[in-house]
Amino acid sequence: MRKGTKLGRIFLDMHARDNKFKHAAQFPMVSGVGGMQLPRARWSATSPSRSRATPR
Amino acid sequence: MEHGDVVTMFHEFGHLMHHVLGGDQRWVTQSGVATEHDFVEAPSQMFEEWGWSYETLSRFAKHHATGAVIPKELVDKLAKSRTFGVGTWAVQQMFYAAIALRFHQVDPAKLDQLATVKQLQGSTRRSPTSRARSSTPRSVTSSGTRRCTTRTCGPS
Repeated sequence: MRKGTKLGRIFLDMHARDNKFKHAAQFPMVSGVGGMQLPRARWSATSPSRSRATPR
Repeated sequence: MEHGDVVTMFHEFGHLMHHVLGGDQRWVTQSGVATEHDFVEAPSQMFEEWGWSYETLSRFAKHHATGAVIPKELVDKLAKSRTFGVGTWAVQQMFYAAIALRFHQVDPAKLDQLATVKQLQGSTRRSPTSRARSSTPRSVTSSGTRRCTTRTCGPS
């Protein structure tokens, strides 16, 4: 579609830590505006809180 | 990760893609996930479907100890169990909605919460007798406002 063009940035914040939001979520950081600013968003997760440390 | 975590992962990734791919806009207020509230979960819910696809799962889902790729039979079982209980869930949601609506419709001073809930319970229970009872036709109040039974409420 737009090969080789940078469309935006995503940041992965995957692990639980103290005082962090307790659910998986996506947080917009910068809204994209065509020709002016690229969109940025953060993916926040809490692994491995919901899973068992050792799967059965 | 458990399967639920994987589906959640695809869900949040769907939001990210929505934000990035929808980010080439003229106005910030219409950019990315800034959309009508009832649509904002639609792309992410579409992305959840990848978590139910064997073709997709088999590319990364491996046994934590042996490294064996997730068996097709297991994914088939997941697919089979996916809709378990959804009918009951839907009826329950309708029941909650009916309670909210009925409480809203009456004069708070005259509201008998327990009696109202009991009555609605009778009309949402899925027995043949209650179904017959709840198919009572709509009644019209003296003011001309249409009042509807639990099962007939809705846009019309």
